[in-house]
Amino acid sequence: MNQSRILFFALVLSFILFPCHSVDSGILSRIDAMVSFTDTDFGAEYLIEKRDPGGSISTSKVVMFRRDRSRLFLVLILEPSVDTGKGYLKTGDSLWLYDPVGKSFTFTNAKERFENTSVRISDFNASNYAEDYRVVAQSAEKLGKFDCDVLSLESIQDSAPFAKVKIWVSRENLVRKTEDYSLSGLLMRTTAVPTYQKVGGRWAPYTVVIIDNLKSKLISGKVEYERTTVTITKPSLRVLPDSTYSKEYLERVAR
Amino acid sequence: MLFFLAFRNIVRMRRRYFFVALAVALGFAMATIVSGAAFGALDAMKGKAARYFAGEVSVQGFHDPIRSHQRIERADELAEELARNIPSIRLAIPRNIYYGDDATLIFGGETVRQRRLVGVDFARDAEEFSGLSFVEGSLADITRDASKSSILISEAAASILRAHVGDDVTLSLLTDRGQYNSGTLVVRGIFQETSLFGYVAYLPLDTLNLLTARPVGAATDIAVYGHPGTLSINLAEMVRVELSRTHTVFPPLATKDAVDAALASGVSAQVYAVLPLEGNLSQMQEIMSAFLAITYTALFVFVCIVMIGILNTFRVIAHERTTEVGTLRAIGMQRSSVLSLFMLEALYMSLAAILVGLVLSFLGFGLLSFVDLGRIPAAGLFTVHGKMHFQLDPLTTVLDFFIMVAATVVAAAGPARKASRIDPAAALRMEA
Repeated sequence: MNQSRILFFALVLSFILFPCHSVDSGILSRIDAMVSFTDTDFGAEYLIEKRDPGGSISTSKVVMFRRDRSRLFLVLILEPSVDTGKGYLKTGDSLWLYDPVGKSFTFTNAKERFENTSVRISDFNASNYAEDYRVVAQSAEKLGKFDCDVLSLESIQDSAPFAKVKIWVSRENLVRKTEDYSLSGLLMRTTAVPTYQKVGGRWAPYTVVIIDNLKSKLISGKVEYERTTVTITKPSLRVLPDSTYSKEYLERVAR
Repeated sequence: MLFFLAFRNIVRMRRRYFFVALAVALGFAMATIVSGAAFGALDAMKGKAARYFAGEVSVQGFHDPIRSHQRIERADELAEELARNIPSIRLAIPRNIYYGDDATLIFGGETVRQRRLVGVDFARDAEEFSGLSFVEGSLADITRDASKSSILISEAAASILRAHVGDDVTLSLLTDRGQYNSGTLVVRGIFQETSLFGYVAYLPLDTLNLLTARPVGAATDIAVYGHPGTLSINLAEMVRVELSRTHTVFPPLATKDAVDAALASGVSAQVYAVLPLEGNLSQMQEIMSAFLAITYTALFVFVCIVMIGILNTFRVIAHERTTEVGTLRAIGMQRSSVLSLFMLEALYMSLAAILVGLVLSFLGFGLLSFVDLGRIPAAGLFTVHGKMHFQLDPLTTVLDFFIMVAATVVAAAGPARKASRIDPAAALRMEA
């Protein structure tokens, strides 16, 4: 009896001394739901601006169509002109890269960098935290003006590009910051989503800033990282024909 | 008697024979140097390729059709089993190759993609890697490193990264499960490599296993090396037959594409593919064959010129010795003996000249080995430590020998036949 009492008080004391958030198992599904469009297609124009440490800037403009319920997306590059017509098509687990010069499709990896920026091709996928990750730790933190839950995630699917991810989620269940770690725990990429835009009843990021933590240079005594800024404009929820998500469509629009 | 006479005639007419012998000697030396250089270049290239592709014969293990899942569990045991059961094997050792094209070295904000990463047991595989030319550091530095957090990078990669020996570089790659992983490795050596086999980095086998999340003791390949003179195609078949006694093995496969085709037909359990080095070098072999063909065409023209020289010299010799031949015929020497005498002289002369030619070719090997070709970019593919490498192929040398002897004897045959037909009376009248 005495032993049980001691154990109970020790437990209470540990909660008082080391307060922590209990892990909310449903939060990942709620995050995914906030930015997924399962009842229609989502389309938008992405302006991707990469700034190398030291200053050189390169810009790409792409148009993206996504059908979240079927896990499809099509990305067509509009700029720079040298890459115009190049595109990516994801159908199920297959990702194809179309080269308009050679007029050929090659199988490619979603974990590749997009146009040599810090954006990965997998970033065009619909948010899928609930299926790819499990929460291993949760705490609270203020991120600028946002009160956030900080979730440490570990991958449970091979399709998840990063083995470990830390996300800052604001009260509206919108991801405001992400840190992507390699399997060995090295911080590879930091992503901030300062602004969202409302599209239908859901949300889509408006600006995304990605810092490549592996690409840095010491410039004038200050460490500068490669920074990619993505601005998403002209969001649309127009239902697109099935033929949009096909190789033939990519070939046709590339002409 | 004829043998003695022929020898005496050569000594007596040494001035006449000298220039013919010199031409034969130079011809043989040229043929030997060119073929030695060609075979040496091929050998140097194969040495580099064997480091890059995993041995003269590569044993690859698969348990599903996905190339990136290539794996041999307990590779050490299998390597030992092969080395024990096949006497022609000089070395069988596990290698771990990262075939993905997304491995990236990062240092000081610069990145460089690596065409492949090769995990090596440096302590046991030292001999095969001793051919690497280091511009900084050495093989011993990485072999001594007990932490195994080290890497050898190419000069091209080091130049882009502005990295030196002792710098910590970050290696980023995908695990076999497809997730990003990274490691910090100390550069222990920077080596020169040609662009064909460049943008490769070598690191300890266990370290690459750790980074790709492969089990300890696993490898993608077993690199098999044969004793000198063992053809890799024959060795591959020996390995295939030996493996097939206890394991499932694909039928003989000549190229990497054939392996991919075999994989595409379906794999559900552990299966092995045995690929000779030539399977990865078919294009290079074609280039070398073309080079040899051009060289031998040039040599053929040279031999023809030498033959004309021999023919003319023997004509003069036969003419000058008309009286001598007439006397020999008058005292009873048969026509066939006169013919044999001249032919023996040609044979002796060619043998002596070839011997001199062989000595000259070795002198040529020695002199040319001092020439530094390291600054010529494409030459690195065919050189060892930036210098020309020569290898005498016994079969080709014997062939060169017979070609030169035959050329001399054939060139001498016409004048010799003519000399044997000299009428003794007419010859003696001419003297009178």
